[in-house]
This record gives sequence, structure tokens and C-alpha cells, in this order.
Amino acid sequence: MTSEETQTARSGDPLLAVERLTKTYPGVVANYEIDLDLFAGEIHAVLGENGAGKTTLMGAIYGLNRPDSGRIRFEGVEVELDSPRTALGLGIGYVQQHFSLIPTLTVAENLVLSLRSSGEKVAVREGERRVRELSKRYGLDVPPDVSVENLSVGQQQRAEVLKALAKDARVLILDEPTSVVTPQEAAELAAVLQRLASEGVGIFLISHKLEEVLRIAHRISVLRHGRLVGTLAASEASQTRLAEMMVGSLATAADAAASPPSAAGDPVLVVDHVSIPGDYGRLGVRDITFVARAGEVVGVAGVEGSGQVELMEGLAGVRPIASGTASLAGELLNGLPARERQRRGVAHVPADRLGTGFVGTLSIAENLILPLADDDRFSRYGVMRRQAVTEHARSLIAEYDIRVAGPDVLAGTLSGGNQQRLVLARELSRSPVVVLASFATRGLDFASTEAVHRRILEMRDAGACVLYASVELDELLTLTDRIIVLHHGTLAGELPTVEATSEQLGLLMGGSAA
Amino acid sequence: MRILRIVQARSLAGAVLVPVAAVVLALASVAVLLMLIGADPAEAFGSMFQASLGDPHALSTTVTKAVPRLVAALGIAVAIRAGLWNIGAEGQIYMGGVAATAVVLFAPELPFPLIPLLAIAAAIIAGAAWGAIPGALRAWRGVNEVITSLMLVYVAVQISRYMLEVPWAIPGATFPSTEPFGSYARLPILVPATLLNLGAVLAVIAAIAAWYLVDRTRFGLNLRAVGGNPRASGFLGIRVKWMIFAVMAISGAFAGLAGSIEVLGVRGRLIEGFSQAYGFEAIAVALLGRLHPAGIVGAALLFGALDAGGAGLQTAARGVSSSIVQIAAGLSVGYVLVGLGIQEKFRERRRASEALADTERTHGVEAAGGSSEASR
Repeated sequence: MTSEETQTARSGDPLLAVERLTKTYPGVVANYEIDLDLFAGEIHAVLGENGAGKTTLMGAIYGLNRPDSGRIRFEGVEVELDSPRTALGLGIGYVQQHFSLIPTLTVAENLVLSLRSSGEKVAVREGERRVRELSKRYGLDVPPDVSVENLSVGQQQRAEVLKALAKDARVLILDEPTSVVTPQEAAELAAVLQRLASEGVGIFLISHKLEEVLRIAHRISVLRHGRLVGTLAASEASQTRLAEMMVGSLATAADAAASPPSAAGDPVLVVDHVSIPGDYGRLGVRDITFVARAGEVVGVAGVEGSGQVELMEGLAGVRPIASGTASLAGELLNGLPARERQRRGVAHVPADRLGTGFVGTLSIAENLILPLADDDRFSRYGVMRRQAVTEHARSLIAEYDIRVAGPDVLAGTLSGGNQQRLVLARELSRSPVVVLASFATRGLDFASTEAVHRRILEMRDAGACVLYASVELDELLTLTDRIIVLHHGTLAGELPTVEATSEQLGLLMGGSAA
Repeated sequence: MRILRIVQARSLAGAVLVPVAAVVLALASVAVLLMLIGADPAEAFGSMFQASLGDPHALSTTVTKAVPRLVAALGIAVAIRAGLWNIGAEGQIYMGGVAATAVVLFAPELPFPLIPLLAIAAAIIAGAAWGAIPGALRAWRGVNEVITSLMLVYVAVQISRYMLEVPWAIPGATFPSTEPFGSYARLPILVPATLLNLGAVLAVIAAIAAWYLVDRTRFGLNLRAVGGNPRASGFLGIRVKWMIFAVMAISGAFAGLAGSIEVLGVRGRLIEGFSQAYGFEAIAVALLGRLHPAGIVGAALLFGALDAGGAGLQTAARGVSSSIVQIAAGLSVGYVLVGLGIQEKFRERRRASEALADTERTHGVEAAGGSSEASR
């Protein structure tokens, strides 16, 4: 922990200190023995992949969740943060990813409401005055008398910041503030944050974007799997080093020997100059070309948001292919609906398991045959063959070790590991030609992770072509035969796994040429 | 969809318990209300019972009044199971009534049952079309089906009125209505001297069909998948937009059938205001029946009984308005929703405590394995 030699204005004791904080949720340890501090006038970035425990940690500081053990000190005094109200009272403000503004009210009216909820009653006119004053003082550029719904997302974000400042926030937490705004707005926000810091506000900036964190922050802490990997001064950090810390650099080429390179066969999936739209109207994948062969696992590496998910969804048929061609065994995939691609042998283990992996309100048996519902084995003349559906489920439950009372249990009641087993059972039991798996082990415990890896290798050995997207270098280095690296939606590099090192991958993922 | 998770019955006992308790509570509340206005609850309930369940004639009235609510509610429940709110069943009923009438007026006199069959088919198609419009707008244009289906109610009511006042108007008539249909065009009466007609049988068939469609067919499986998780359904290859369109059309088809039964069976002609907000009450019936056809049959019979009983109350108990039964109906639905909400809270609490116990059990193992998804 090299925190002492940063160049921030700092006066002795930290403003806020987290000591040995642990927080568990059913089945997962979200934070484990974390030590973290924040000085007045400091921008302290908290970096980590999705699920690393960033939001849980900040939630504890804002009183949204209560740690199982550990302490939080504010100005040296131990505080019990049992609710956001307590946190706000101390001067801790939180700008969440989803704003808590009422769209039909003006900024000033929102401010008045927010102040009222913390016990201060002011008139709208007074609210407008304060908005103008704060807006001017910190360069926020938020008009007081315009309805929030007519503001840009960047302005809404700054209105949220303003709301926190109006309550005399001395600690400000921002959760992924730049993931929702345009690059210009992100730059404006950065200027605002630097100004706030210079006035003595301590800022926690949650992010997974390396460039941005290096540009803005004074210190950077990296979380991984709920643990603090380390805290660096920005001056000592580099993109490569941070990427390594985020995804882990434990694996070496020796580990890759655990999975001997397979004999790759003919090209199965040919992706030729493909571009795929992302969210927020940008391109998620730009002009990517690669070939994947039968009997090999191709790792798709990249930091979060580098286009891995868009690539997989584009190939699976749930996102359009904007330009270029993708073909499966010589036949064009472009324009084919998802169901037709499934028929031709495409299996998809989607990135967002809960949101898109299965239907929680249907039974396990029903979930297992959803893509096969029009198969003669499971329906005839449009009527489901219940016996066959149940038997199919029974055999898959046994084969894939889904731990559940029976096939009629609702899928939504399963634990994360069992849900993923359900998804794998459904997708892999169809003997696919191509398996598209995104973040397939995210959030899973050790045993479930092992089960996923085993299944993937089985598919490979059976001659399937597997695309495996992950943000974990360990996993990519042990599981894959070849790795392609994405950066900002473009192909940053491609190399055989036996020749890859975690350092090299880290560089490519961070956007530096190898 | 939270409302779906809460309202949809998971077991037969659960399906019956809460609604029955809610109805009992609603009647008790009405009794208190009656005492407050100085009426005798025993006398009022007695006359209500007599008029709704007291004799075969009363029972027939109850069933007759239950039928349109039942059939429309079946369609509404099918839509809700798919995550869609068809608020416009009332309009679809009117379109069904108009379509059935058009067939009767324009087709030649044919031997029974040809005309009713044709008229019912036309009504089903008209109701389906009226439901398909909001369905298409929702599926391909993202327009909220609640708004559009509701707006189309008023369009349908005006179309019915126009037909009665212009092309089908009877010169010199005091109330807008067609001439009574010949018996060849009507649904036969089942119990003499009552209005109970073949429509009741059709309603039971419709209930079985709705159950079979949703719970036994491939279409129903896809429908429930879309209702449970539309995004995942798309990922699994279900054509979600087409399903939205189709389900809204089917939902409208049920209401259209309800309209034809009312016109061909009960009224024997098209008459202004022939559906007395049955399509709106059907929403309450669908929820009270917890979206299951069997529950909906029960709920519709309750509403039919209250309707019939209210008429009896009006004539028997002095100073008591029949609108008291509407209070009972409204309270039943309100209590059901409150009861189910409480049940869901308990269920959540139980799940939370189970999860906590689970954590304690696996804590050591997980800390060593070390993975986390909980920061969401």
C-alpha cells in the first residue's frame, strides 16, 4: 500500500477509513477484510470488474448495507452507518448509476424535495438560488428551472452531484459515472471532480475504466473477488499493471499445460470484417475478422465493455450484424433469427445469466426445452408432450448435477451455480457446433466454476468450436487454445495460448500494442 | 413482473384460500356498512341470497350474469400471463356484438345452428382484430397497450352507437336497438322462463380452452416464457414481438365471444349499452380468480351473484341501494390483492432467512473459493 507519497493536499488523518470490512451475501463473499481510506481533497478510484465488490463496499459506506464485521471511521471516530440518512447527516453523498431525480420536476424542485427529506425546509425560490450558487461555484452548469427530463444525461448527473453538495457533502461517492454519458460530458465531469477535490471534498470514484482512472484519480485501489488487491498512487500505476491487478496474474504458461492443446480441425466459424451495434447508439464491435475451428477453445479477452458481449450476441442472433459477414460451416449467419441459428448448432451461454439466461417463472423442465419446444420429441401438433419434457429434465438434472428437488421446481428459486448448470445443460445437451459462452463462471463458487470448465473442455474434445469470453486471465490461460483480445470493440491481438503471458494480455487489453 | 408473480396461483389450496377469505371479509365489511346506515344486514343479505341463489330461477340469473364477465376475464388473464394488460375488453365485447349482429342482419335465414355459429365466428374475429391493434402497436412500435386498448373502448362504443343510429336505426324507436332476432339466430334458452342460454356452455368450453392453451400447448409455453422474462425469451429464440401481437389478438377474441353471447343469447338483438362495463369488471374477475380459469369461473359466479343479488336488494330492502353490492365486489378484489401482498411478504421473509442460514453454512467454503457477484 503506497499511499503516502501522492501529491494531494492532505492533512494528516484520513477523512474516512474502512477497516477490515467483511460483507457476505447468500453464497458469496462480497467484501473480505477490506482496508481502505480517503483523505480530504483526494480522488480515490475504486477499480474492479463487475462483481468484484465495489458497489457493496460503497454501499456500506453510504449505509445501504451493513457489514458483517469491520469498522468505518469518519474523522477518526467510529461510526455506525445504519441508513443513508445517517450517512447524509455525516456529509457522505452517493451518486448512483441510476439517478434518483424526479423527471417531471425542475432541478430546483428536486433539490427542495431532497432537502426536505433530510429535514430542511426551503422554498423553491431559495432552491433555485442555491442551485445557481453551487452550479457557479463548482462549474456544474445545471439550469435550476428546467425539468430534469429535458436535461441531458450529463446534466442530470451533475444535478445529482449538486444535490449531494447542497447537503454539505464532504465525501462524495460516484458509481461508474462515465458509463452513461458521452465522452465530452465525461471530460466535463472530470473537471468538476477535480474542482471539488481542490475545495477539500474527498471523492470515491467507482470505475472499471483504466484510462479514465489514471487520468483523474490521485490514488487507485483495485478490488478483485471481494478482496483488496492493492492501493497505488496514480503516479506509480500504469494501464498494464492495473489490468493485471484487476484480472489476476497468477496463471503462467505452465498452467495451460493442464489443458493440452487440442487438434483443431476445419474452420467452423468465419467472422469477416464484422461490426455489431452496442448500447447507447455506439458500435460495440468494429470491423473484427477471425476464424474459429472445430475442436478448439478460442478465448475472447478484454476488459469489461470492450465488445465481448456484443460479439457473442451478434453471433447468437440477438443483436444485428451491422456490416461484414459471419458464417457457420460455410453458410451465412447474417439475418438469420436466433431460433434458426440454434437449429444449425449455435449454443449461447449469455453474459447476463439472470436477465437473459432463463425464465425464472417457468419450471426447470420447461426451461430446459424452451429452444427445443418445436422439436417432435417435445411437442406434437402444437401440444406439449409433458411426459417427454419431464423425462428429458430428469436425465439432464442428473447428468449436469443440478441440485434441485425435481423438474417442476421454478428456475428462479435456484442458486447461481445451479442456474448456470441449468443454462449449460440446456445449451450443451443439444450437441452444438459452436458454443458462445460469455462470463460463464462469473459469480460462481469454486465447484461450479470447475464444472463449467469441465463442460467446455468436453465440448471441445467432442469437436465443437468454443468461443469463450472472459475477463479473467487465469481462466483464459488455462482453458483456451488460442486467445483473441478486444479493445474498444476492435481486435487488439490474437495469439496461441501457449505463447501468451498475462503481462502481454494485460497490455493488449489495456490498448497498448504488443 | 411483480404483479404476475404475486397474483398467479401456485397451488389449488392457495388459489382458493385467499380469495374466499377476501370475499368473506368483504361481505363482513358490507354488513358493518349496512348497520352504519341503519339497515338490517340479515334482512339485506337474506334478500340478496334469495335473488341470487335462492331458487333455480335466481341461480339462472346469477349464471347468466356471470357468463360475459367470465369469458372476457379469461382473455384478460391470458394476456396478463404473457405480461400484457388488455384493459380494453369492453371495446372488444362491443365489436363482437356488432359483428355478430351484422351477420344476423345480412345473412339469409338458415337452419339452426348455422347463423349463431357464423355470428360467433365473426364476433371472435372482430374482438381479435380489436385486441390485435394495441398488440401490433405494442410489439412493433413500443406503444403501451394499456393506453391504446383503453382508448379503443370508446371507439368501439361509438361504432356500435353509429350502427344503431344510422344504418340499423328503426324509424320512430325510442331507444337505439335493432329488431329482435328470429329464434333461428339466437342461442337457445336452457332453463325455461330465464335468460340462461347456450352461452353458459360456451363459456365453460372457453374456460377449458384457455386453460389448455396456456398450460398445455407449445404456444402457451412460449406465452408464459414471454410473460416471465421477455428478454430471455428473445435470447432463447422465441419471436417475442409476434407473441405479443398474437396474445393480444387471442385476448380480444375471448371478449368478442363474450359480446356475441350477450347479443345472441341474452338480449336477442343489438341494443345500446348492451355490455354494462362487463369488460372492465372482467379485469377484477381475472385478478380475483388469480389468473387461473377455475378461479376465474368462481370469481365470475361471485360477481354474477352480487349483480343478481343487488337487483333483489333494491326491491326487497327499503332504503338500501343496489350499489352496495358494487362495494362488496370492489372490496373483494382489494382484499385479495392485500392478502396476496402480505403472503408474498411472508414468502420473501422466509426466503431471506433461508438464504441467511445458507450463508452461515457455506461461509467458510466460499471464503476460500472466493468469488463474488454480490456487488450488484
